[in-house]
Amino acid sequence: MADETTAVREIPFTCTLDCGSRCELVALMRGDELLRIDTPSRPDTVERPRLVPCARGRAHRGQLIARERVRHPLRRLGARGEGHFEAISWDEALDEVAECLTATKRRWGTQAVMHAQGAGAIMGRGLHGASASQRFFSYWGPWTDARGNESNYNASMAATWMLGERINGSDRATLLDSRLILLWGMNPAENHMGPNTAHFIAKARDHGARVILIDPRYTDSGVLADEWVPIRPGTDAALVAAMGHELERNGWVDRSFLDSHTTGYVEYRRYLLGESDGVPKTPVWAETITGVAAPTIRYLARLLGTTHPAAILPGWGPQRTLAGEQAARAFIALACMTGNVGVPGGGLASVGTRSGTWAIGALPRGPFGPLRNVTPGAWARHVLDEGLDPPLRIAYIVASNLINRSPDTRLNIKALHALDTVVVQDPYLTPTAHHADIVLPICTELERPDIALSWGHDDHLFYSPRIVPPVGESRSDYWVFARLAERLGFGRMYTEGRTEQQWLDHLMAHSPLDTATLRRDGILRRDGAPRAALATFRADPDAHPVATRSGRIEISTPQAMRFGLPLIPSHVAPVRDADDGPGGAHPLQLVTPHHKLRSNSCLAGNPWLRDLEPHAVWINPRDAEARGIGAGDAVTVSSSRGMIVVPAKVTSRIMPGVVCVYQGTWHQPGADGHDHGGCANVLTDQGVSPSGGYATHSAWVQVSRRAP
Amino acid sequence: MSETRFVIDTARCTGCLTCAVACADRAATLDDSTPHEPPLWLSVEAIESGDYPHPQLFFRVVHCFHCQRPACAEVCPVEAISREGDWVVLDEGTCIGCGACEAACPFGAIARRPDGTATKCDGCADQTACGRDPVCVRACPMRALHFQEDTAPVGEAPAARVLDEAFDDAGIGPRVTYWRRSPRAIPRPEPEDTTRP
Repeated sequence: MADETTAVREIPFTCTLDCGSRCELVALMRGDELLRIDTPSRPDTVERPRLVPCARGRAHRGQLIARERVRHPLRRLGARGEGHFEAISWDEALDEVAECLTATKRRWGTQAVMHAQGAGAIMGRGLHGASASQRFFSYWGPWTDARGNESNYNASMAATWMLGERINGSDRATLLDSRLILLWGMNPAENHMGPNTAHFIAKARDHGARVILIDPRYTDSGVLADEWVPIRPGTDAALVAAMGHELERNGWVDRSFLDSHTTGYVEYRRYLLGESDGVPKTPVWAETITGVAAPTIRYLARLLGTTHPAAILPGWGPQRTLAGEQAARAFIALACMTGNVGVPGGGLASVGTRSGTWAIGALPRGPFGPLRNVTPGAWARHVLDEGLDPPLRIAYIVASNLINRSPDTRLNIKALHALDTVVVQDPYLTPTAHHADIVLPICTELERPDIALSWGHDDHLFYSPRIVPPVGESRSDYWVFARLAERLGFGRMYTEGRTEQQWLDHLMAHSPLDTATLRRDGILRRDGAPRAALATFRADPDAHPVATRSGRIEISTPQAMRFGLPLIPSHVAPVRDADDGPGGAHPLQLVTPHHKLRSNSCLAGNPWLRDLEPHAVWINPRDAEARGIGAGDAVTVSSSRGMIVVPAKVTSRIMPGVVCVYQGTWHQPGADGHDHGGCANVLTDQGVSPSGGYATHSAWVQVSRRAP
Repeated sequence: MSETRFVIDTARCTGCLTCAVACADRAATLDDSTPHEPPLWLSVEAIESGDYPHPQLFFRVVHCFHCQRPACAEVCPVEAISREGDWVVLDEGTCIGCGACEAACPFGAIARRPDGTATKCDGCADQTACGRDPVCVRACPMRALHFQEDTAPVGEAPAARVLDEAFDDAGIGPRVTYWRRSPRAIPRPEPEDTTRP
């Protein structure tokens, strides 16, 4: 039995998953052996709560032993996608990749390479994942990027139009001042979005705050809520409008805040009251659109209009829809109408940035940038586009299970098969790696050092040292690109003579920060009084304007009209296919949220997490009964794009007319041509919102009992 | 000194499974015979009830509660289970894998290895001996799990908590107290005027 009382060393580190949080983890070491993972043992204080990691962070040792880990460089045998590989040496693999890049550059030019990344390891201040690959291509030549914001694109657009830029949210501890918290499509119990978010909500509730969950599902966050308001996906802007109508009618609008801190409210007000289109946005009007009963809408409006401060906390689900810009804009408008901007306990729809205010450098870029960018959600269409000049010939995929995490998985596979070469760098033999010609094994966070920033609020800087040697022959992304650069003649430019640890040492040595503490504690915290976003703007909008042209929050934004959207945050009903919707072949709305045991599809191969909660399609008892579906029955979920086979979870935790398949399980094609892994993106399509954002929550499906 | 016990605040538990994974990580260190399937000493049961649109959900964290009169020890034919000090201890070398303890435990706290032998929570005796809380308690992002000397609910609003009456302790003295959110903590909304548009 391992005795932890003797000679155990604690090394702080952090996860660098693309997850929305950064937490404090501790590796318990005896000598060079990793015994297990823990959290810092210091006590919590209100000002300085421990950044307690979730199950994903605690399962890192499972990553070291996962059967799907790639332990050696692999070369395809047989046809692409058959999944047969041979182990080859690093030299062979790197020579082959280098030759292939050179030949493609000569024949088609560097733009024939599509570099895809995302949803795997972080970038930003990190050295790994896309930070390493983009530095490589920035010396090699202008490439084609498949890069974009799949997470909160529409909210980013809304923030850019209305606030002039993406802003960080308030520190989570400010929630202790809230009297009302609206979890609007937000699910902190499962998605966290910053360590301690759910913790502070529970604490605020103990202090008397009322918590309302507005969501098509009664998520695990329902435990923290006093009431659940189910709402049809994609209709949030209509609910906001009806609440706004009630705020206006009852004199609950914070007119003085609107006058002093915003512009363009008058047009939105005319819309709410029906002066512009003859349709007052009454609760009865909204009921038919949203599925929320009119009395409930009046109740919500009264709560929000008479309870201060109120935190309106939207998740990113409502904006990941075909008119998602409108929901994101409406949330900002609603916070303004109720004066909940810049006050502790209030809040504003934030998208969060990781630009950070920490004075520390990042891995620099070389002279070239991407010359083309293909829409990240629709890259497959560009690959298959015969008119593209030059055509895409190589997919170079780094830290991304691309086919699984992009909409329309089956089209994505077809696209990969149309390419000359597919190179994948990943710790796991993912469904994407399955279709590669060369798979380069990459190590996970325990196996390489990095620096990382927290997301969006509660600003912290992390240093995460290497804890254990890389598994098998796996290496870091930086290591791989350094050797590829050497083969292609710019090794010295790429590395500047540094290993990844030397880069980190270099960045820390040239930082004015207390990097000795950063190394020792693994974290630099910016604690003190919790900060409310836009507090200085609230106090003095002339001295601290927001980044719009007027310096005020702009509720009417002509920029949106360039994309065919209205001037104001009104409800827009997206056009849908004839088959989609009640009465059609695909009558059920599908939502595909993140799961608490995965980060996108990362960790789907972690043996310690994989089987803890069974995968299923959530369906309301009414919809299940109408289809003869019982709990646990095998069912098919089908859309115009494909079909998956999964068990049914018949539950009153989802509203009728809506079903849910958590995204991120790995695609597993069966002999019948359907997916048996429950991969949600087999069902989604590549349609985007008017300004170009992901719309994966706007899918329509049918659920049927599987023929025995 | 009164005995320490596990105090679990289900009004805060969101079923995130962090405790289960943290426990498995430690269990896998103590017993590395099946690294891909570490012993599952702690499970989290999602208890769903209620009709749409009024679902109810709570999560029940279950592990060995080191009962005062352990039912498992009583039925063990080879006396592999005994109460030693504060803890119910399972001598895995003596266990013959008959499964009687698994059947006797009313909480489902005993797991079986692939070879059939029993395995269960050791109470993190090594941790508590150095004055640290058990791993599951320290791991909880919601601060819903506590290991303390009385049964009081934890948090700023104990009045908002009631004892979990649904939990049947089977009279064997488990060292656990579950608290649930008091229904009275959720004031009802005022009646609505439904005559308006």
